[in-house]
Amino acid sequence: MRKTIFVILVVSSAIFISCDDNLSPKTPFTEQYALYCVLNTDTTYQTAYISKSYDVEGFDPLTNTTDPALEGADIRIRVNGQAVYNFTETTTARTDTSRYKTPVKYYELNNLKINDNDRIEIWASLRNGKILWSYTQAPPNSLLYFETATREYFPSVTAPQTLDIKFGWTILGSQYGDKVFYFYPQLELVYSKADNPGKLYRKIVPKMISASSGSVINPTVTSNKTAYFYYEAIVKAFEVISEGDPQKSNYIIHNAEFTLLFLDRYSASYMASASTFRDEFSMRIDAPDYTNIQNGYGVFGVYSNKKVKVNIARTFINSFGYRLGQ
Amino acid sequence: MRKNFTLFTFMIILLFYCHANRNVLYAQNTIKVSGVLSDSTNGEILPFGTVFIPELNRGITTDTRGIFLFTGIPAGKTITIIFSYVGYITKRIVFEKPEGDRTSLKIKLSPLPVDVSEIVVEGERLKKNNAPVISLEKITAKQLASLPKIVESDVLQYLKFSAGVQSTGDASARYYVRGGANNQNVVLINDATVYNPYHAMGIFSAVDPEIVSSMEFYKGAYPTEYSGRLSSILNITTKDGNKVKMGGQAAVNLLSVKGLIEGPMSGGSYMISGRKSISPQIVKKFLNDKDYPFDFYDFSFKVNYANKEMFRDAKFTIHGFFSKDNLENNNPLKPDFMWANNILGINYFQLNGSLFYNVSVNYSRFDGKITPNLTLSKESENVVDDVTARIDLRYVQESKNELDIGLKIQGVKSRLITKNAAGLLLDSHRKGTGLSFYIKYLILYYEFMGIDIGSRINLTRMTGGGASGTLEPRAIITWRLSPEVAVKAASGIFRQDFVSVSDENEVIPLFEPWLITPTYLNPSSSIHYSAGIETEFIKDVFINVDGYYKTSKDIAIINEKKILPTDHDLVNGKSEAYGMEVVFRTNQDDFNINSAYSLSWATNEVYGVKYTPRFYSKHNFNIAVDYDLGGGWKASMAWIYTSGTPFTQTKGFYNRLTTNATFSDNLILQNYSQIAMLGDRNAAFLPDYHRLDLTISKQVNIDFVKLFIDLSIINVYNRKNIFYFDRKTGERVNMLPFLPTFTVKAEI
Repeated sequence: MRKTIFVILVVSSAIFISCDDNLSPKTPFTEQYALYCVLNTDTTYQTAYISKSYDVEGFDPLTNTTDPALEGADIRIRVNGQAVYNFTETTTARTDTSRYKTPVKYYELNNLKINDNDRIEIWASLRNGKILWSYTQAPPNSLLYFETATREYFPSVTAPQTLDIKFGWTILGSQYGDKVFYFYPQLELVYSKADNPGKLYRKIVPKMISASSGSVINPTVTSNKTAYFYYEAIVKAFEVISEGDPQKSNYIIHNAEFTLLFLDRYSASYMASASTFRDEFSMRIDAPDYTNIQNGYGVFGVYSNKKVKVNIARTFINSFGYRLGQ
Repeated sequence: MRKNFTLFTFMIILLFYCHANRNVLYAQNTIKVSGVLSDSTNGEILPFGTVFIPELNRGITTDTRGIFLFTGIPAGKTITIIFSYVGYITKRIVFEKPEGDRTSLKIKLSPLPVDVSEIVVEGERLKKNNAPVISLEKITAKQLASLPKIVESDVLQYLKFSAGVQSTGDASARYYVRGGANNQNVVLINDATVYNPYHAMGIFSAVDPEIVSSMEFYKGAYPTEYSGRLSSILNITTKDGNKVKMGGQAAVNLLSVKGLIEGPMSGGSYMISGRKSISPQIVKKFLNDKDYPFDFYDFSFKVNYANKEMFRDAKFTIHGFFSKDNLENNNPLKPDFMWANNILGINYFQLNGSLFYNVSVNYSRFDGKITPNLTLSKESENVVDDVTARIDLRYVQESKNELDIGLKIQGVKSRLITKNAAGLLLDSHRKGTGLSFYIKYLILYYEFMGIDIGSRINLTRMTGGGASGTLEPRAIITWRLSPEVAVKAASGIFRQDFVSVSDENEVIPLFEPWLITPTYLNPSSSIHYSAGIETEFIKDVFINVDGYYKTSKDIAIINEKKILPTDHDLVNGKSEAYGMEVVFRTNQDDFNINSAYSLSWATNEVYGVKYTPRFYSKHNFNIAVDYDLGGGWKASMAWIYTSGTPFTQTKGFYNRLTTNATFSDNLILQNYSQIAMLGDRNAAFLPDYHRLDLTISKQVNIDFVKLFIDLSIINVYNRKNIFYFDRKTGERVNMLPFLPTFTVKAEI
């Protein structure tokens, strides 16, 4: 009897033979929209871009070759609850036509000047009646100053033993004492090649080189008011310029240029979210994403940039076999 | 807090005092009978054995040390004590009019012969006790070995057969209890915390089943003496070692080779065990044939010393447990991983009259490390040093009631060294001391009822921040309506001030650092409510039905919206879980069936958004049958079914602005990447999971060597259970396919 029960249980369990499952990795597609508009306080010319979501057969989004840019939207900016500015629709030629053949469609605005602490709202009314909305506040760009310790010559003349490059900046105004601001520091080498000296190239200098892995580590969004670029990283950037090319003297180094982006919280968050990464064993199901657009995706933010030119010593440039430009 | 504590202590003392009067009455004409139940062949203690006095209609079970204590036995009256244990010959001892204050017994039971398939056990229907216990599973080494083996018996895989326990699949021994996250469970080995009880990314348990004597698994509303986790406690007691003669075991299977030696020593016994992986090939089967060159070992020992001349009824124990896993790819383009546990502990136990003393000091260290080599993985290291000292006192009154008092001091240093997204080294170094004690009163005087009421009193918070004095009151009641039926209920508050940073969105988390809860978060707390009914209308057919409701707040959850370096790594979340569990069990002489079904609901809430956790499955059913075919042959089968776990669907794609450079160029001329748009979090469900496993075993005795041969087939009908769905490639990754395995073990 007991043996019979055992056999019955085995057999009855085995009837669950492997079969196809009803797995639906996708939910029914509904069109959604992404709005990108990051205002530059250094200019009155601003741009915006709206695209719609799309679906494809399978899971490779690159198989979609229809430009998802959205036309016919009414995009408006309101500053401090009063002045309203309207974007107009325009196009420009596409340089890379490998995926989309049509011109790039976007929106532009020619007369918007952003001042410190302006509260700015954006509305995008789509043809189907949907409204994308967001707001932000401009950072106090006019109060951003580089500190005197900021390097304008490399290697340092006054302290040649200091091989790293440090940049420092501050926000004037006692009302901003404890307030957190966001920055994105970037250092680029500006160079040209002997065969076409009029064309300038730029090479991004990493922040540092990982001691353990040797991989380059780039700067990211920070709330610190200093940025260091370490000697090893600078050397690495110089080496990479001519990697694989034995004719080192064909490379003409003009200078380095430090750019500091001063970001509002939303554009800072957006930039930071784009630079997160995971290790290859951490098979994460869902990727992090960030948006501050209500009813949609994308980002609405404000930024400004300040630049510092850094001259580089001829002896240092020559040590790589390069030449100093004018 | 002080007012509540004073009130509570007063109440306990009042209860104690009220029952003291009964003690006076009892003590005048009663004696105590205590003892240890053990295996006659090797002296190994027999936990959870049954001890019954028919003349008094009183029964109790031995504890994890095999110890029992009867108080209030009438002096001068002849009594019979019956000792029984599954797989052993029942023993009766008759006391002719016992006198004196106390009698101490050492009872040795003989195992049933291997070739006996039908035996007759003495037929008394043991009286069910009134112990106030709920949501507890007591698991013996024999039960552990009775299930079909996934390569070999596994301590944590066994838990998946418990009602209310969920897992995310074959490739993980991680378990989730009643809607709680994996880091809300603690695994204790001889009372010491094992911070990472896994081998090979969590596929197997780090605790070798051969060293296990017994396990107590509390799934919720656990009693006052346990603390520190919101969901469950798994307390593993290791074997003492052969007290009769020197012996040993050696075993080999597709995963590992291992050995164990044990034997008597002056005044005690010892046990030393070691296990080493021999091939990563079997691991590939768990991971969709991907190559993960795991290498691991574990080593443990236990030495017991009991000198009657020095201490009567006392035992001194030193134990150790060491495990280490390496994943070394020998490829600079892949990262390497390491994690290790090092545990050392001492324990002193004594039964003095009616008073149990237990003093223990345990040191547990966890090390975890990621070496990125030339990859973009973050170089990280986590070290936890935990020194825990505890004193537990149990006083058993003549009226059978018990007063328990205990003190626990836990000093922890946690250090997490990692790099943030900017590549900057972060060194988070915290240390703290948790000081708590508990008091509880166990009312067992009434034959129809048992009550366990008490509270933990936390005098400090480990981080030093926030409210430092907190109570964790708990109560459990059992009401026996008839010999066949008992109803139970329990409630309690539980706190946790130590978290692992685990991301539920990672299918296989390799690095789960443990941290003292940061001061910017409140310690997690949970309230459990449980109620149930247990029945045995038919002899040896047990049915237990439990319901539970659990809410938790201030759970430390990874801040998925952490974007800026200034954002906190963890945020507080909430959770709610409720459900019903049915357990069916019958233990016949040669035939056992264990089956469990649970129906559950669970939600997490963070950032004000509710979602079902990744490990959640609404329906869980399993049935395990083992059958003694006689002549040394045994067969077992297990079938598991769980409804699909949730996942987040893709609802389309959009082009996302890539801002890896600057905003300085015209925005629209910059690059866009293609991003999957996600549907509501965990709103869809993967297909159901089910699997049938079979094992057939043969024991052969060759002279003094016992040879055990197990042949197992995992996933007999080759069910293609989905592990996860890769959103980027559309690839469906399945779990274990049809897989035959074997184990050969020799024992002398």
